[in-house]
Amino acid sequence: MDKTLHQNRWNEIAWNGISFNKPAVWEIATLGRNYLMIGTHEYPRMEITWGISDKPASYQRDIKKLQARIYKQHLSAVDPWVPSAAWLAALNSYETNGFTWKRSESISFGVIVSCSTCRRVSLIQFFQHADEPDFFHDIAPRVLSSFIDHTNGSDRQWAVFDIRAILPTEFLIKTYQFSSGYMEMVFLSHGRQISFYRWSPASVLLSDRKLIDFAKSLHIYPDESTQNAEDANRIEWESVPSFGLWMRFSAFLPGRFSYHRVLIRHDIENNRILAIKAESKHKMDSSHLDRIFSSYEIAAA
Amino acid sequence: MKLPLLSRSDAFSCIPIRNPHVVETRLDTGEVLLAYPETLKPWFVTILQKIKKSPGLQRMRKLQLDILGSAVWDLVDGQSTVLEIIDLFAGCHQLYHKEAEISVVQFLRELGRRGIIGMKQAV
Repeated sequence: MDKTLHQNRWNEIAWNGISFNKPAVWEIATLGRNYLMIGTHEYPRMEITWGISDKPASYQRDIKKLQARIYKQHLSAVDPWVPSAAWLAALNSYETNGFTWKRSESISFGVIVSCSTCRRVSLIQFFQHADEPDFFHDIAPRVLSSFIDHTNGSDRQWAVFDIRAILPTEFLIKTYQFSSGYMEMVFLSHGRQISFYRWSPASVLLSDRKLIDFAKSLHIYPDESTQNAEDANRIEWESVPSFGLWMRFSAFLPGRFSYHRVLIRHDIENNRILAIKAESKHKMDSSHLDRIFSSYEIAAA
Repeated sequence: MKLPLLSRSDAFSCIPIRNPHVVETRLDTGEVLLAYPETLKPWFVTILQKIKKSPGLQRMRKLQLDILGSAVWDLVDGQSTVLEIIDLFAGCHQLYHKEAEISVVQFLRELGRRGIIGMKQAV
């Protein structure tokens, strides 16, 4: 049996508009733009997929789609299911419809969650292996009660793997890459781009060189910069657009950024190297960027 | 003979075993250089034997591990399971567990492909 039922540590996932808490031993197994499969090293535990619906929520339509998908993937029939009181209480601000399906070795219970505020429809399902004690009535409601599919403020949190960052909601994810040793997320909003990078383990990457030498080997290191603040574990530089005629003209060219600000720091405590790059056609507000830069951190293991 | 499929859990509880014919050299940098006999297809060995008519046919190949690969190699002690190696490796380098899992599994798979290690099912 895996450690799911014998642990107390929980952490948060916040990805592309949705967030929830989960047991720390449940890790992301597959990540898509609007999809997460979460599990332990033994079994899948939870799957969530979501999207914005232009049409009003329709249980019949959603369940039909789901039935087709589950049947195609697992040759199993989906049955309607009335969620328990604990599940309903956890999702009391949403419209919910339950379903269940079974395979020989596992069973799944799930809900289609519709939010009238943000019009997001999320499909959340939990999996349990046949030889395990029931966790649907203990862990699942706790996960669901932390589920949030929209933010009321102007900022949105991003928390995947060990990366944590807060960005204004207008920044949408453009590209991402999560591979061992290197992670990258790039966000775009109206001609402004913010990129987060993370390397590990820093002790190996910096074993025979300084942070500045590592920084120079990166594609984000600038050819020239107007300011440069550095210490052994933190390098920051900024390249502000000049007022030359060419620079003014080039600001109209698509995809060309004339303002760059980059911060690279060595997080000694967590043995990581973190970098953030902000780019725009015009100078970006420093205090605004300071806030974004300071929000970028590693969650302690 | 077709081998039975292992579950994910069973695979993690397997014990990697070093090939006794692998020669390990520790470099000044702390990295490990492995010399291992090249694995040839049996039909190819038969043909070679007929052509060369000598018993010492196996060529040795070399593989230099980087510092992280060397660390995992050191953990392959014939007793630790794959999961234990992942846990130790993650703890040693403060890696995110999933990250360590992917790296170690990929690395062990590569060593296995080259015949440098084998896997023993834990009893």
